[in-house]
Amino acid sequence: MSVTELNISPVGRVEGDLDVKVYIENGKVTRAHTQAAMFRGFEKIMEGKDPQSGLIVTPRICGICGGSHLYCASSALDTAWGTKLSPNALLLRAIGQASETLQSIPRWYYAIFATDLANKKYADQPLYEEVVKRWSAYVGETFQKGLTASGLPVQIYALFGGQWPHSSYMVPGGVMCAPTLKDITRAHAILAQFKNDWLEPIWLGCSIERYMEIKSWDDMLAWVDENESQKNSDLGLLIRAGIEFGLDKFGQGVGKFLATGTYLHKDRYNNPTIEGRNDALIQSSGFFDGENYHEFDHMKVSEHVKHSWYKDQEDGLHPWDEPLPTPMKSQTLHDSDFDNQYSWSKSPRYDGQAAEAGPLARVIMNSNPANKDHQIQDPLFGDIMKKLGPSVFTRVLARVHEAPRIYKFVEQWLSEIDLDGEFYIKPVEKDGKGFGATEAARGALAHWIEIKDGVIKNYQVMAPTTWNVGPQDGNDNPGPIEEALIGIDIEDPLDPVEVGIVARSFDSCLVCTVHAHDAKSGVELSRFKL
Amino acid sequence: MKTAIMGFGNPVRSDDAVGIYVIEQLREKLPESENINIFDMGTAAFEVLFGLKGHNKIILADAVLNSNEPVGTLFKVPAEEVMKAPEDDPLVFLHGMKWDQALSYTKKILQDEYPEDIQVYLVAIENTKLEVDLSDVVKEAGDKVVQHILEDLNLSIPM
Repeated sequence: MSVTELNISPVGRVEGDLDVKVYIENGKVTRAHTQAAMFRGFEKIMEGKDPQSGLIVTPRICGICGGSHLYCASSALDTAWGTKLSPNALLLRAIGQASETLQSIPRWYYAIFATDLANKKYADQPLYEEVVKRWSAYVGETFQKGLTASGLPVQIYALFGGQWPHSSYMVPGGVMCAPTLKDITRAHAILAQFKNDWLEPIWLGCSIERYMEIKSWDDMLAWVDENESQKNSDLGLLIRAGIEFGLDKFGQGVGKFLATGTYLHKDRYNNPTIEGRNDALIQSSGFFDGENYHEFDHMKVSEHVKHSWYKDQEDGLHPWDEPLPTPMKSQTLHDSDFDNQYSWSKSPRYDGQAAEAGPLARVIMNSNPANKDHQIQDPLFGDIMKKLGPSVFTRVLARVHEAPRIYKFVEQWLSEIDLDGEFYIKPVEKDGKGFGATEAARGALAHWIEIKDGVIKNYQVMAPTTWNVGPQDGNDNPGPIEEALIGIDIEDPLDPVEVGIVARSFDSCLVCTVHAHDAKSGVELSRFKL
Repeated sequence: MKTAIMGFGNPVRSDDAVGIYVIEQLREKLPESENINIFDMGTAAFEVLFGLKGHNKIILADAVLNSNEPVGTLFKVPAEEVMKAPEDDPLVFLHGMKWDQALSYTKKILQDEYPEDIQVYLVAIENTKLEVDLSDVVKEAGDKVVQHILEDLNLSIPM
């Protein structure tokens, strides 16, 4: 076995590439096209297979959201089969989902987002030196601590799920695990370490309880100035530098928000139905059109394909009515015809409208006055949206704002598990249709299934990235990221960091390469990877 | 002496599954031991950092594309040879990062704790279509990897 040179192109990792084309005039983006550059027809694999294959296949769609896919896949079968779920099962599923989201907050913040703030673009800003010291990729003081801490929450997932990512412990009818007191104690210890290593000393500079007293933007600003510890915490620095660097001034997006909600309450979803789902959620679902809240109805979700490389499909179909994907020939960004198909992503629409999915959508739903007593009630982002509106800054603040609350949830849910209770109630298989959804760290995720003659007839996955990076719809209206890129100033066309900052604020589940196009000279801008 | 064995790949991308196949085989064949940890890494990369911690010897198994060798060809490579510096591409991270980049990052973080003995088994493949079937030739190569790993561990277990 002798090896000299190897040209390693690591294999078939499922996350595809995102290419972005922007047209720039007088330093401003006037038009943008997002191109998901890889076919992801996972649904195709499941055709004709055992109804439970979604439990095995879909967690492999993503190397970092496997638990969220599993939450959806098991829920979709729960509604199709009419299973019974014990409180323990609902708790352990919620703990899995919450642990995955909790790990993603520091990992995304440090590894994906904050390093952009260390870009030379901001070198003249007074806080730049401090930002570089802390958040430079790999070498920053808190970059390493935050990333290391991000490994902890998924240890909790692995305690119950066997491993993370790519576990299949959630099944229709419950969960396939029977934790012991030792597991629960261990999970509490891991959680406490996450808090003591990072969340309180580094991120907040105060206790979780103090932070959760913040109810308005003014409260938030007062919290920053309250003492040196909070001001100099990483969150304190994010707020100060974010405003100083002007992150609140760009990347607005479509201004409409969609959340499918998550964390089904242990005592409110023991007989799972699609109709009963909204009221059973702890993290509420909904559609916010910029002014009013609307109750989420999955029947109002549709997908457009006018600009996507799929054939034999009409626009605007509900997922149950969509055919399994049939790919067409694709083009590179350079050769794409943007009047026709130009992306592997479809364009999901809610009631015909483009909507942003993600943490910002979730925290906006938390401000819905119609939320029930068992649902999160937090007016903060209702206020921030009024005072600042959507932007890169608001989106990032929304993501990190979730950490203390999710921490408290996991702590509570762990203590509510009844070790002598049931974890799994064997369901009866039958034909029918099902719908399951959750909130992955980066936004609304839903699965639709149709079972016929005991096998899968149709399976449709709609991921948060599809909502956000989707191309124009059948009426040529842009998707959320396309819209968010319009109007941004590009300071240095050879290093268009602004495009990356906007795209990364959505945390698209894709690797991004930008070939920016100069509308005037036709000069190809530098490749720019996300 | 603690050993970690990590398999990488996607079971729903045809021959990309070979690293996971190796892990499944080893789970059946290896006796329970607190000195050997076996990880199905799937398509995760960053988790390498947390998997490496506390081990002296590391064995990785993955598929390789574009090796210029026929499908099923097996390679064993010291990690240093295939490690990629993440600085070459600092923004490809998290979703895009592969274990080869994760290793060099891990080296920076773990410093003295970074295990020196890291060997990588690679199986040449071409087919990464969205299917759940592993081809016979790649499966045979996977079986060979299992055998090699058992030998590395000085275990003689009948196949």
